[in-house]
Amino acid sequence: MELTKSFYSPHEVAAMASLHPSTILNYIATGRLYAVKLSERTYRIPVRAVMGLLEPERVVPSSMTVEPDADVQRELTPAREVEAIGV
Amino acid sequence: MRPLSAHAFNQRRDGLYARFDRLGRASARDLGANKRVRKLVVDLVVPGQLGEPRLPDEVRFRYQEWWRRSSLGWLRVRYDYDFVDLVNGGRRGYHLHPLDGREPVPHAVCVLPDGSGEGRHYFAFEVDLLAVHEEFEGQYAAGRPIDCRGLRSID
Repeated sequence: MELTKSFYSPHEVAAMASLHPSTILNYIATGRLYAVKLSERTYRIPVRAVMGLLEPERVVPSSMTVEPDADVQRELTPAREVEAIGV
Repeated sequence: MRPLSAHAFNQRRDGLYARFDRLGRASARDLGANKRVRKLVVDLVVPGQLGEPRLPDEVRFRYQEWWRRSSLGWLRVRYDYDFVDLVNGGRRGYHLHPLDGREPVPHAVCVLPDGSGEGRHYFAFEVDLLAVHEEFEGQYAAGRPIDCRGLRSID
């Protein structure tokens, strides 16, 4: 499946998935398929969501790291205060 | 924004991550949960598809929040929410941090594709990350170039 665009309409995704457009709209309504709502009746489905539906093994994974002991306090210290205390 | 318990913080973080992951390739970092100051950083590139098909990245969302531990829970004390158009150029953002004084000031930033507007600040209320993301995401999905219409300078 060649995906060359960043966004697809529900009709385009329906054609690629061999499903009825109303099924795609139902997927969107139930949260099974992610879509950006442009207006009351207009949705655009990002290519990542299309791939997740059609070929999930090709989706490049995201990542989350948790570092509970990281020290970010200094980032909130105002610059003038940093100068004053000579840090 | 109301203070969040540690559990509520994690729930919000995970919910945001799941939301962003459906749009593009997200990299999230939660730093300092055991400390007095905690920072959440999300870097989201779209389409973010490195393998096949190799689609060029078009936009980048960079969201950073700083939270301070208090008796009420985690309080958001600073944020930088930025949307960068990698194709046409330009940047839109909502920030909360000190400008001239010591007190944080909520404001917007807007840099047009030609680079004008860099360093300027515009009036804005304090905002919620999800609402900001929906605005940016809608702008991107609609293919609208970044513009600064309707913004009022506070400089």
